[in-house]
Amino acid sequence: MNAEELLQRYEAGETNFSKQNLSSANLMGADLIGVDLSHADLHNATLVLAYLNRSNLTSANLLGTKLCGANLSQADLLNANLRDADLQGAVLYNADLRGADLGLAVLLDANLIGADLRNVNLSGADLRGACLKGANFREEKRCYDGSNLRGTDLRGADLRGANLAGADLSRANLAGANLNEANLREVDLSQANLSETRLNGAFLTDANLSGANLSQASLRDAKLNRARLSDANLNDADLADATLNAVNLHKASLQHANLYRVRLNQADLSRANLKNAYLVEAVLIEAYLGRANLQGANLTRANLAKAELSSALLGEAILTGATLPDGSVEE
Amino acid sequence: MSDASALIAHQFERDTHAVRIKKLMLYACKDWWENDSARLSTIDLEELVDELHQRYPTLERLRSRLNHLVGMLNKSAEYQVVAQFITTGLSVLYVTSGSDGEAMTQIVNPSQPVTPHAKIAHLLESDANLSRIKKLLICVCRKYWEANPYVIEQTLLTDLLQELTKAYATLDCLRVGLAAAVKTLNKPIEYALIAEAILQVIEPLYSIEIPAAKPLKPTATNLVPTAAAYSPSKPLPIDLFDLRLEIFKYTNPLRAKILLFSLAYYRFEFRSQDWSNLKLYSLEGLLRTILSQAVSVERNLDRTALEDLQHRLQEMAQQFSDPSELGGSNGNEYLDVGQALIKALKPNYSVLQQQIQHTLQSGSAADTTCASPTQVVTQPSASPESHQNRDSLRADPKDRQEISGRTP
Repeated sequence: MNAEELLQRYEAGETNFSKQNLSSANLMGADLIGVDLSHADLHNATLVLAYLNRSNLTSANLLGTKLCGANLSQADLLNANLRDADLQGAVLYNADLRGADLGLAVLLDANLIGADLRNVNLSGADLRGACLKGANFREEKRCYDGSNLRGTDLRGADLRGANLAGADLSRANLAGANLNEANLREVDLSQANLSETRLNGAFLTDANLSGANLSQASLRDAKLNRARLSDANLNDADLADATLNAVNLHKASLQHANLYRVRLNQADLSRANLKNAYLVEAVLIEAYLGRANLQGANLTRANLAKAELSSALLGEAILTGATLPDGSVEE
Repeated sequence: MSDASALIAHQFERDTHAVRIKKLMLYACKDWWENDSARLSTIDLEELVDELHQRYPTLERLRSRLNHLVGMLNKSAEYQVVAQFITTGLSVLYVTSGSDGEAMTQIVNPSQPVTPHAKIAHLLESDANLSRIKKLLICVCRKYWEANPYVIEQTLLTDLLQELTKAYATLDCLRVGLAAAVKTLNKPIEYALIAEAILQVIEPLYSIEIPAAKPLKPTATNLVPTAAAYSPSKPLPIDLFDLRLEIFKYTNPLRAKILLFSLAYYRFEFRSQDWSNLKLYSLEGLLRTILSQAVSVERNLDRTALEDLQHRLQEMAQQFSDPSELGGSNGNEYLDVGQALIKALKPNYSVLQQQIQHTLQSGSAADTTCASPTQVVTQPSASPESHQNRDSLRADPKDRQEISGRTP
């Protein structure tokens, strides 16, 4: 079947083109709203700025297909093959992409608001500046594995309120992205770049952030209980009011970080570098600070009851009004 | 010292460009280019850090050498970023060896230069596109195109800035001069961006009141009420997420980009070259460019910057339509796009403008710090072919320009 025939038959009212072969067809700007192209072969086709709203592209072969600016809002793209596809500035608003393969696809500045991305493969994809507000990547036991976003480029992407629970974001680049209020429970963000990322109010409980770069990131009021942050870089990060109970910050660097009023109960801060960190009113009950560097840190009115502080470096640290491990209060 | 080196090496290893960092550092240390990944992996990054530090006694020498080497690579744009990253990483070593007490303050804000020209030069020197900035400045000051990387390296920015302020009496004259020069180059888009960056940074040199001693802190202190002692080390980057969201909600992002691109650079003609150029810019980067351009025109015209932008968007949209092969059916889509853009910009315009102006004055181009046009531009293109290109040495620097017309 060729492009002309498809357009003529669609014009005449036909919509079912399931399993048709349209590889390399030129359908630039075509109006195909609601068309059924499930299981169709559209690889290397050109669908730039086409209207494919509410179309059915379930299991379609869209390998290397040019879909820049195409409107795929509310389209069904379940298990579609979109590897290497070009979706720059495409509209995928509320699209169903469950199980789709988007490996190495270009989604620069694409609109993925509210899209269903469970079990999707986005490894190595380019999602710079994409809007993924409220998108769903959630892992569901026995139904959907966590989405694969290994090494994905998400710089400057808008992921506010997105659900990424259980997703694999290891080595992903999220510099400058906005993840405020996002659900990131149990995500793998090891070695990820999160510098200058906004993570205010985000849920990072049980997340793996080991070796991640969070320098200058904003994590106000974030929930990080039991998160693994060993060897992470949190220099100049803003963690005011964040909850970090039982977190592992072994060998992490937190120089000049704002830790105002954080809760770090039972946290492992062994060998952590907290030089010049701002820990005013921080709660560190039973925290382990073995060989931690607190030089120049401000611990005014902090609570260090039962904390292990004996081998920590405290040169020039400010401890006015702080509760010390033995329960006494520093004058 | 070795602790610091280990930290730096560790930081480099974790970077997405770890391999490139190693390649370039090795090249700077041993003067050979290594492409074999097996041999590369045997080389210890920490040792390279130390060796680099020993070999180049000052940060300036290191920067100069790296930039020189980058100019000889076929992927100079990509390696420019890597070089910048290496110098930033190693700057810690150079600072701590100086004085211990004020190490941190120096890293954030190295030695404050005194004269306004030196101050601006200092700001420009930290830009990843330093060599392009110099080339363009040489072009507008001395009316010829300098392609020799060594000469470019040796030309002092302070001298160029002195010449510049003598040659161009006002910022508007300079803007016209830069625009005219950019048009004659065979990479007009790239250099238009460079010109814009120069104008942004250089602006204080032309303003009557030079904000020298007066620190610019209008509301920053009020924003952090509780943590009195804690202040972020740099101004907050401009947040365009809400603006972008409005655009995403009401219009096609690709068409929005096409229209903004046409306004910022040249009219998009749907040619394959135009498509690949468009991919170099993010929507956010284009918005920043447009917003800063709007700031600059405001002083020249009676109408407000928003009205002017609206006018220009409408004008551009009117002469625009999708090519016939795209159907171009239901009238002109771009008029709607232009309206959607104005609708999104209108409510926040004064705030955005203030923020943009603030960053212009304080000289800290927010663009270079977050996911930004400068970074996006130097980003290797996402096409799979480019990943397959092996890094290799070339005899000629990639960046060589030819002046296709005559400079005025």
